Amino acid sequence: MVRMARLIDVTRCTACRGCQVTCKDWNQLPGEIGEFTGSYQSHMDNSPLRWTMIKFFEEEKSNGDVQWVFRKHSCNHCGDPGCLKACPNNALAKSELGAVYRIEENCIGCGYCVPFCPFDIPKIDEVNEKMKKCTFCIDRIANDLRPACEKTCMPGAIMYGSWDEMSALADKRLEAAQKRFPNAQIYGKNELGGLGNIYVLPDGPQNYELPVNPTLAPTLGMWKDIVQPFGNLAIAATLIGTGLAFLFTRRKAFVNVESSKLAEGGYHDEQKNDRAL
Amino acid sequence: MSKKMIERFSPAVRVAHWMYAISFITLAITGYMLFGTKLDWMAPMFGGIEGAMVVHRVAGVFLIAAIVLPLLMRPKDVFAWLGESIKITSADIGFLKTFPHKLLGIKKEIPPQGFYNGGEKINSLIQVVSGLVLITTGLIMWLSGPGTIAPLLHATFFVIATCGAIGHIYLALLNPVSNESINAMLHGKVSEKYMIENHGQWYNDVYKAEKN
Ligand code: SF4
Ligand code: SF4
Ligand code: SF4
Repeated sequence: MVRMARLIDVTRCTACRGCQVTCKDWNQLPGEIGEFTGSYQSHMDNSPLRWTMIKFFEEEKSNGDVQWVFRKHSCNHCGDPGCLKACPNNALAKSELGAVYRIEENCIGCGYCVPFCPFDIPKIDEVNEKMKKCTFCIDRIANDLRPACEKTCMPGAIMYGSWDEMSALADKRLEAAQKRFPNAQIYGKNELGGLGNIYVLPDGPQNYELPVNPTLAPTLGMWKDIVQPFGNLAIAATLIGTGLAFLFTRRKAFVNVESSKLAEGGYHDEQKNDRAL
Repeated sequence: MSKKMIERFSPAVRVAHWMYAISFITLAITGYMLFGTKLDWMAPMFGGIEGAMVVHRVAGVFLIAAIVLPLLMRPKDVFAWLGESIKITSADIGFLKTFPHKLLGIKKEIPPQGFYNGGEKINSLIQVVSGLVLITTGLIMWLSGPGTIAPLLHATFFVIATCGAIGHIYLALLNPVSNESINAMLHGKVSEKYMIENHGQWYNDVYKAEKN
């Protein structure tokens, strides 16, 4: 199967928030009344019940005019997902389509994945003790349907197709975007093994709360690759070692006349044993 | 040889020890469910791994209490134990050299030991150091989320503490050379002979001196 991707053309988004609503609709996530955010942005961040949202950025143009930029914020389905590597319970998996999805029964909401996502995506549902995030609509795309958010997007700010198609489309879109935004650039082609979201941005990623060079924390993987296997080994070795030592001492105890116990009358079972002999 | 018994651990010390021990074992079992998969069959007893994590936190509070209460109520005892444990003497080194034999139940001449022998001191130090790290990282993870380093340290010291505890349990319960010492933690007393053989220095310097 070929890896799929979404193109997120930020230069085209009108902030209608159709994707935000349809994501809730398809995934049956009830609405939440958020606090006032100080702008037209609906909420501060994603939540266990909100897997995608539009973030608002107010920018001043060179001529003094104000312009809004709207970026869809959801899981990027990284080529090299930190969350997946960090999860101690194998609760995250990557499908051949490129979706990083959660295995419901394995997830215990421990939150170990949270700090290892460079995009601050996983949200913990404290009540049900599960992590929640965008699934790439895996239940849809695995059945040859398009992601709900993409299907809704009217201005074509979200597109869906194979990663290579989206990558080529991004180049075309960039050309168009650069006419309006001289600093326009593509984000997500090279980051973290290629993201499942390829962005066309009007300006540098730092302006839109995207890390410029997203990297995975150096301690990532040390848990799964070092501490867990070696720890298991150490515990098993100690158990086996003491177990063997125990068997050895039992054997010894029958003959070890120097044992202080024997001097005082010996083990109960040893005395029986002596009589049997 | 006389069957005279000597008081080794006061009731307060024993209560603290068992409170710590029971909390530790509960923590190790529930914690392991996150660490590995080999105990997952026990998860239903706790209401799933999610339930085990709740039990883990409750047991954590008990473990902290097993440290804080003695510190508040019997600070002298606690500091006496700590003070002894960090004083590693040449007698302790001598003891550790014979440790492989002891492990296999072979009796060997050991230099006269203090109130705690070299092995007990090492065990104490392992538990003190890993206990401090485990409690600190545990509280950090509980109160401010896992972060990228705390789980790593927590897991590493879990392994160290658990291996130490397995060795400790084996020596105290199953090893014929040393398992008499369990009585000291159960009833508080061990035979005078045991103290002479295993803690000769303490017996000569302290116990006899107190007697006279
Ligand atoms: S964006 Fe975060 S949650 Fe999504 S795949 Fe990447 S690391 Fe995982
Ligand atoms: S919250 Fe779930 S997905 Fe995240 S690390 Fe824990 S078990 Fe894995
Ligand atoms: S792919 Fe599906 S789950 Fe993800 S943001 Fe779009 S609608 Fe929501």
